[in-house]
Amino acid sequence: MSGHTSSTQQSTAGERLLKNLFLVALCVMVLYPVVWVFKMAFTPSQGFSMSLNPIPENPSLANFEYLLTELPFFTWLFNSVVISLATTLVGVFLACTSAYALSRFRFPGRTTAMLSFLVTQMFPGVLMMIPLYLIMDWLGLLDHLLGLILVYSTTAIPFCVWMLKGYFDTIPIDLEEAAMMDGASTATIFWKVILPLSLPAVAVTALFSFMTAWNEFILAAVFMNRADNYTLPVGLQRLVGQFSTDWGYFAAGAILVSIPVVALFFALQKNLVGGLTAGGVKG
Amino acid sequence: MASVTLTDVSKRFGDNTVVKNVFLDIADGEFVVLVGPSGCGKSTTLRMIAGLEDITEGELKIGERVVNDMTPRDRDVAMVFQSYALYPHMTVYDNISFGLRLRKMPKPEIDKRVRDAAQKLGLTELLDRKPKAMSGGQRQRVAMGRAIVRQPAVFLFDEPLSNLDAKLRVQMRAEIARMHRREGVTTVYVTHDQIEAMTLADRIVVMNFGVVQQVGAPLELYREPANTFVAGFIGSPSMNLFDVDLRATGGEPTVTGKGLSVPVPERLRPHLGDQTKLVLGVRPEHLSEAVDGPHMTARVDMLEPLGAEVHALGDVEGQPIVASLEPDTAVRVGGPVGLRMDLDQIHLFDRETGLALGRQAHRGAA
Repeated sequence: MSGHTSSTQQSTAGERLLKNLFLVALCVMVLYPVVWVFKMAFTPSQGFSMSLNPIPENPSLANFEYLLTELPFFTWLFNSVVISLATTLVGVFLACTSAYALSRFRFPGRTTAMLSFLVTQMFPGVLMMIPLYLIMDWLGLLDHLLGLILVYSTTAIPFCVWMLKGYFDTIPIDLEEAAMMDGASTATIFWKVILPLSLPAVAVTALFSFMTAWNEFILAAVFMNRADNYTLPVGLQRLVGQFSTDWGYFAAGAILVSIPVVALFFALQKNLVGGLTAGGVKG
Repeated sequence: MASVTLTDVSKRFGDNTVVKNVFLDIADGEFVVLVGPSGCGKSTTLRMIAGLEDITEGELKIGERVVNDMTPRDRDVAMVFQSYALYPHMTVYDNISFGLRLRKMPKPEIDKRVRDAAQKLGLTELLDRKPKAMSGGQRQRVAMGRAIVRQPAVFLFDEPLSNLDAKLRVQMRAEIARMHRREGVTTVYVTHDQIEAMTLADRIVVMNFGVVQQVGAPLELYREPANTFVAGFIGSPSMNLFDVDLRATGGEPTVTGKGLSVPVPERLRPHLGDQTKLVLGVRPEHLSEAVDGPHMTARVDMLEPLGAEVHALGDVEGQPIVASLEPDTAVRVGGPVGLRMDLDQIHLFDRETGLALGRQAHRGAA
């Protein structure tokens, strides 16, 4: 037994080197495209550089300048922010309340509701495009920010409900009974006891809703026809022309678009880890 | 403060009746303990009083008000949970004051009550702490504080000490007794620990299978158990029970079982009916070593020296027996011991109904 252990220890140095080389290679594979996007963003030409060198040859901010001055970038940004925030608010609020009801109350149709939420998640979103288009047309919400907010909220809610219900299920029922004995109504229990305890899970679902709305492209491209109603992904896609693609602008735009999401991630990071593991452990 | 009255109260979950026809009058200021094995319906009864469970049948009054259909907050009761159920995101101060804040009590009054309760329970230093930064005993005290500040008509306790270690449990038991003496609030307390029941209660309600077996003062239950269940449940170690037959030997009524035979004492004779299949009950502490004229001979297979006494565990012709012997006993494991019963302290039960001779079934019992 001990001989075996020592032989493992002896080979460790060499093994460690191999392992690290392998991991470094993987990191390069994952990070290189990102670095390349940065390179294109800071290179003033719009061509596709074939050189492997990840450092831009004569770096400049020209692409960013063009995006921010020549294109209605801030209009698109405004649209994206409004749509994403509204989607998050509406989606998370409705998901919280319905998840709480599904977690704590026993009523006819409860299981069916949970299952139908699950089933909607099994179809690719594109399938719903035509019916959604017809509904939006009927409501007169095509080319309206409100239309996209509605669509994004409803598509995000099923996942959020499952996520939150799972979390609510882990909160001991004793706490609610204690609050009930203290004289709290169901609404008070929900707002003052359950929600404060569920912040990690709410943070995760909020981030999920936000990102879904922020990154969504297909529905936004179909529903929004006027350039000043575009969201950022749709606006940027217009840079990819039929005959030529302005890679420099596109790359710069991609970086700008991802800044808010990255910032959100960092802000919620602590809660995210807690939220994703919290389902399994009590307390 | 208020009395609590249960009249023919039952609870069913589907076809499953967990509490059957309970009649119980709890006087204003009384400390009543519901005790029984797991699943006997004691917690469900408490939760019905709290308003956390619907009452399927019967009537529940707190004071003069019928509260069957009232929400917990309108019943003016406070409850301490087994798990403490403290709000993890609130400080001790906020935990204790939560109920008062919900009732929109003026801030200075809340502050006064919280500090008062904290002082009584030794929590003053901990008011800014959150529950996770406290020990089990401290959490338990916060849970009690939360109940005290409300100054409710009735306190309800659901196995409040069972998550504590043995030493703390004794401490907190005393604390609860003190609290009750001080506040004098009607209290209903659920436990499966008969020592808690014996030491805290004015009256004990013994339950089994959802049915009230006996209601009485602690010593009354110990001295005059109404049936074999109460006889076996109250007292530690449990009462020894032997199947016996009633015979008249030379004009004197005698009960005879495997390996034992004793005359029926004078005080029990008036209760003898035509039932001849009986159960003889005798507590371990009412058995003593006898050199001559033993009532029975036991074979000892274990000795538990406790200092003040020795528990001898063994059997009498295959029937298990425990006897509490003098600490300097010469009895050894594997050896025989002759035992005498204190005939003034034996009990006789009807083997068919389990009832003590001369007893009626408790009201409401099937």
